[in-house]
Amino acid sequence: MGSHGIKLSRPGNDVLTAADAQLAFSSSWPTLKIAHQGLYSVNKASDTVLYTHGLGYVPMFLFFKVTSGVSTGWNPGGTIQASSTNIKFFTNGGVGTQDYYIIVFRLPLLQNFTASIVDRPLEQLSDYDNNYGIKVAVDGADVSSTDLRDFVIHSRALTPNIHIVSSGTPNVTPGTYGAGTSKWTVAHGLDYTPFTLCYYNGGANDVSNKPGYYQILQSSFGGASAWRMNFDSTNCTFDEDWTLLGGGGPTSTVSLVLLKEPFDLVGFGMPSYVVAYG
Amino acid sequence: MADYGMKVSLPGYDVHTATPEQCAIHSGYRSPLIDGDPGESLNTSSPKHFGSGVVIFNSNPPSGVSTTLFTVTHNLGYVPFALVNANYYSFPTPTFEYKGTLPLYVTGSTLNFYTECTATTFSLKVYYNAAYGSLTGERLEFFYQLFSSNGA
Repeated sequence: MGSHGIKLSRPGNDVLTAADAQLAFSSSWPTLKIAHQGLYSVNKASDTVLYTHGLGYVPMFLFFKVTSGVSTGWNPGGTIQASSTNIKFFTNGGVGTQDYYIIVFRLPLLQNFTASIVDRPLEQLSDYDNNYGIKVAVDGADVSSTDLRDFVIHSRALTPNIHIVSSGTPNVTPGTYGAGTSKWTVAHGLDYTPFTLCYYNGGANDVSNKPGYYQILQSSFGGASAWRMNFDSTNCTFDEDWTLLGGGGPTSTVSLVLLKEPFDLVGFGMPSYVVAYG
Repeated sequence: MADYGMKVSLPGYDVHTATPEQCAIHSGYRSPLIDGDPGESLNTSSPKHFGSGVVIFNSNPPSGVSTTLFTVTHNLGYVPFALVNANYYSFPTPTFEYKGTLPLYVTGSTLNFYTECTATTFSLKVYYNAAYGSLTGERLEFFYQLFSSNGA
């Protein structure tokens, strides 16, 4: 943050000393803004435009498979991808119909952004005290509402804070997985591993490539995978195994979206759970 | 934006002319918020709406079906959406780890980690098929964010 601006700390944190991830909001970086959300039914046998957003850029988006009122983050039986004009379902030969819920954000995936860093240790979050705070309702909503869907910011709530948006073509060879691979690397400057999302277009090496469209990386693991992401306390990376794809070099374009929120909260005094299965 | 509201521009942008993308916040657009203290008005026994965790597999889940590994009872009254980053550690030879946003898939669809939201719960689930091999000793680290925003 420069010499002026606004920031709002999360409950229990002194706004003057709070680290980035302890802020509910800062004018130094954007929060996620929902441009559109809605439920769409598709015939899985054919390519279908789900929503024409008209933003003029490739936006960050999410989708969920919806069946009988249950929403799952699961392979759509095809791919759902975003271009600068729409969100589209691309068939992989499936049959029948399926509902998908999509959420489109006003965040350009191909416009790079890097936020400043307030490098302070994270400390314990305290309980919400409703005797003070700030809340901003969305246009048309009552600020006295108790439904968080009616708010832009609310000091009882947390919202993802954008740290970095970085896009490009893998340009370091060899990549993480050795000869025949290349990677795109983002040095994030944080002292912890940030929550990271990855979107990509496979380019000419991808036999299923849809020019101009980007999809969320949901790749396989165990054995070789053509595209992989990685994140740690220093870097976030995207790798293309162009040898596996039969190409002579990388052709992907990737956008890595890094949030301020730490992937691993252990040691930061925030909620953490251990589940022993079996 | 209507005739009234609030917006805060990012550094370097004039708030009078800044587009929504050039604003830190803009009251024309709701943000996906995470209830920082659902225990204030909801249940207090369930895990919070954000946090991290680790699943340690001491045995294999049932083969050929999905199994719930972790659940948050949110009581929002509608189906929300969640984001989860995960780091899967496998300990056969050679040891490997795999990181990403859920869902994570194994080639051949023998081991898939994914999220599920209903009007009452958020769950982290695994689909396991014995063809993958044993999960004993393996683990899944995860960080989840459950948003008070529609996901269905």
